[in-house]
Amino acid sequence: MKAATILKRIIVAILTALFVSFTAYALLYFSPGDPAELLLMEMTGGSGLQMSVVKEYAEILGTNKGLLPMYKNWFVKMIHMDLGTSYRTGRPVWYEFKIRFATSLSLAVMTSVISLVIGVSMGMLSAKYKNKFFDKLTRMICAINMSIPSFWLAIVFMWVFVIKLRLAPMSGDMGFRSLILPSCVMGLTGSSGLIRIVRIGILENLSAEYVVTLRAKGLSESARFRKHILRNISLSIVTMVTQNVVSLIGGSIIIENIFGLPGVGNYLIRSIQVKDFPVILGFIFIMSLTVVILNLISELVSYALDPRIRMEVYEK
Amino acid sequence: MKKLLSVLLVLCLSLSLASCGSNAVDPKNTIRRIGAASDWTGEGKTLVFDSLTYRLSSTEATKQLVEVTHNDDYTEYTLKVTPGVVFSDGTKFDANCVKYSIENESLANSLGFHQMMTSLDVVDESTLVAKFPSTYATFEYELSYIVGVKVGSLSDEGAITEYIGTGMYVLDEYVPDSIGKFSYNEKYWNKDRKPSVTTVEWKVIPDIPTRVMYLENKEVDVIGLEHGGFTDYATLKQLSDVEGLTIETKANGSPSMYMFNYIKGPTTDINLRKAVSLAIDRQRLCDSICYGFATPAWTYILDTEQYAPTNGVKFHYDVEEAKKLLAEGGYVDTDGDGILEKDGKNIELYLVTLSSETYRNTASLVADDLAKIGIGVRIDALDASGYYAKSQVGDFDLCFTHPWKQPITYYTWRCTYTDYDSMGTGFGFDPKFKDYYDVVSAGYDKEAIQKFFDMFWDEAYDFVPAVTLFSGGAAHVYTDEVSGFKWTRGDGTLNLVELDEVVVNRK
Repeated sequence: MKAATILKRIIVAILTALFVSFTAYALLYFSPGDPAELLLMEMTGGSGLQMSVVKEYAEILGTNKGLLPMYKNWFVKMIHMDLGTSYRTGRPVWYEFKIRFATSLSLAVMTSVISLVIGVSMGMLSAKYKNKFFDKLTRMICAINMSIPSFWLAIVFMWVFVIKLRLAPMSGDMGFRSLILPSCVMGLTGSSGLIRIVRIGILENLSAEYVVTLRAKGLSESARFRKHILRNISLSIVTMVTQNVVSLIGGSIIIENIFGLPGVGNYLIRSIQVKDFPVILGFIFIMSLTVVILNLISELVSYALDPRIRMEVYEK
Repeated sequence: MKKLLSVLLVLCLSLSLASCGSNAVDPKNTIRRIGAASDWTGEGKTLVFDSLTYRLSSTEATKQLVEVTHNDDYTEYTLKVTPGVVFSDGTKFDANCVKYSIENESLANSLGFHQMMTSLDVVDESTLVAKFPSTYATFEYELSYIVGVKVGSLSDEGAITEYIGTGMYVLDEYVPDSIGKFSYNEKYWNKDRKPSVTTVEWKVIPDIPTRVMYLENKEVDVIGLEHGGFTDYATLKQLSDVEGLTIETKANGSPSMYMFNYIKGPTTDINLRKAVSLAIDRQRLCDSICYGFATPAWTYILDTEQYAPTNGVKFHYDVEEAKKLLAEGGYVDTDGDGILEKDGKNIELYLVTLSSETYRNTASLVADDLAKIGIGVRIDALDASGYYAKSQVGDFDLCFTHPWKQPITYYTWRCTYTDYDSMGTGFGFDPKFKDYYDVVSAGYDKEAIQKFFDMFWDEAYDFVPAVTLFSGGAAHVYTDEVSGFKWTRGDGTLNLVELDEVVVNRK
């Protein structure tokens, strides 16, 4: 892919992230609740709060300036690489993001690795033993697994592996060890879709004409699998794994809550509850950017894997 | 294929091995963990920071970081910094720190003195003078809400950004929204309050079932230290059957209640409001929703509270009397659908409440009680923002409201105007109440204040601006390895979490 195309895509990514963050901010701005009041309510437990005090606090926060002036302030700061400070904690938004992003990203990556390992291996075995006992069992487990809510599975895992077997730590503050159980839960939950995609992909390819030709040419089964079939289905796997990583970064709120993990999603939800605008704008901007960039990476990988895509880009 | 399976097996084994092994050893003087709903920087900040004055009750405070004296008419206060107070990094706590804390701490903005005080001057290194244009007697008490911080350690919005305080503990390790680890502050100035616990961990576990699981598994030593204690009644019931756990409850002096919209709509009718107050079976609420961890509330504040009614006025439960009142008010069921009508319209009250389980269940039972006297109820259980939005504009007939707490503060907050606020209609239903503002808000003529409140309560029980439900018991739940937790003396981040009397019984 040409450097100019990549640069163009990055510019589009930044514009998209700005648009998404502004839309989210605008929607929240017009939703019920004054940030100053919500924050003071949280601080004081809601008692004794006079409206004059709320007004004064709104002035301190700058939330009484209106939709566009507030966005303009944020935008000017953002251009200077400053995402502002959180109303609630007083800490810089970038600091708040980076300390949580590490947890969320690690969780998302570990989850994806687990679901990838389970999904690809089980999908391949399931295709190999098509309509045999193993295949039927795998499909049944997949159907059940897809129906089970992840929070329920999390509580069951916690009960079995932490309380009964004492194999894993319960707390979310023990670094890598804390991520094992939650990523296993989410990895298992996410693996079902992957198993199905891999199984269907392999079966479709097995009956394709090029595979018959390969067999006729005397290529071994393992070589057919590794060099051709697996490569052909890798595109859909890459796309699905990328989407999983993207949705997991900000979307594993329930799991973060249950396992006490300080992740991005949890913090963002709490900030939305008190309308902590700098955090909302900053987090959504960075997360949108991450999503668009991850999608770009996914496209680049597809470009490297699939000559048809390279051809399409070349023709354009 | 074989290679893939081998990789899978190796991965599983590595994960299992990595996760094996016991957790850290817990010495006798360590609180393994405090299981909390939110970060320590909220309600747990008093582990690291001392408040300027020490709160004794819901209306009184005494010296702590500063000693407060005043002139006869409470218009001028002298604040004297307690000698020997230093921050944990060795910096001296002086008058400039007091001034900075009072003028900049975010919580200070919400306190009454903030708008009244005309000046706060540093006289010397350890003395300040605060002046008020008229009598203001609650200044010393309000200072118990403000913690002493180093100059420059607050953000523009007033949040603490540098966690170096004068408090009993020093912050050693902190992962926001996850954990705070503390050890005893060797430079702690108040040697009379030396705790036996020298290391503490504050663990954030937002999800209630998980927090409970942590406690049952002894991964935490205590839950419920925040915001008046743990009040998820169904879970308390579940925990009461668990061996090795102690549940300590404390009756809340401020019962839960619903506010009527007495400004517009069907609940402007006094007969209807009184009938509702008579028809609610509070005992059933306590038994079915609170599992015995709460008691029926017949009064706005408990008799034990300061400025409670002295003549024993209260609500009572009488369904027949409720029906009689409705009949007298002209409510009849002409179409036989079980719902009463007035002026040709069905009486259906719009009840706005919060969405947590206890609030939802309470609303359902109240609706059931009111159905028995022919009043329909439409329930809207909303999150905090939605609830505030509805109550602020009077879009309700009946709504959950803030309970009566600290009568003087509550009076200054909700009894001086007849309008909607963020929690309903308030108690300013009689314009003459605001005439007592100077007497009540000044806070020092206790006899006059009691006289006002006696008059106020008489009118309130007659006018029924709100109806009481139950008096919930806050709870601390802790394992048999620890004991000695004090009850907090405040709400929200005004809480004072104190561990100086906690004892670890772990062997």
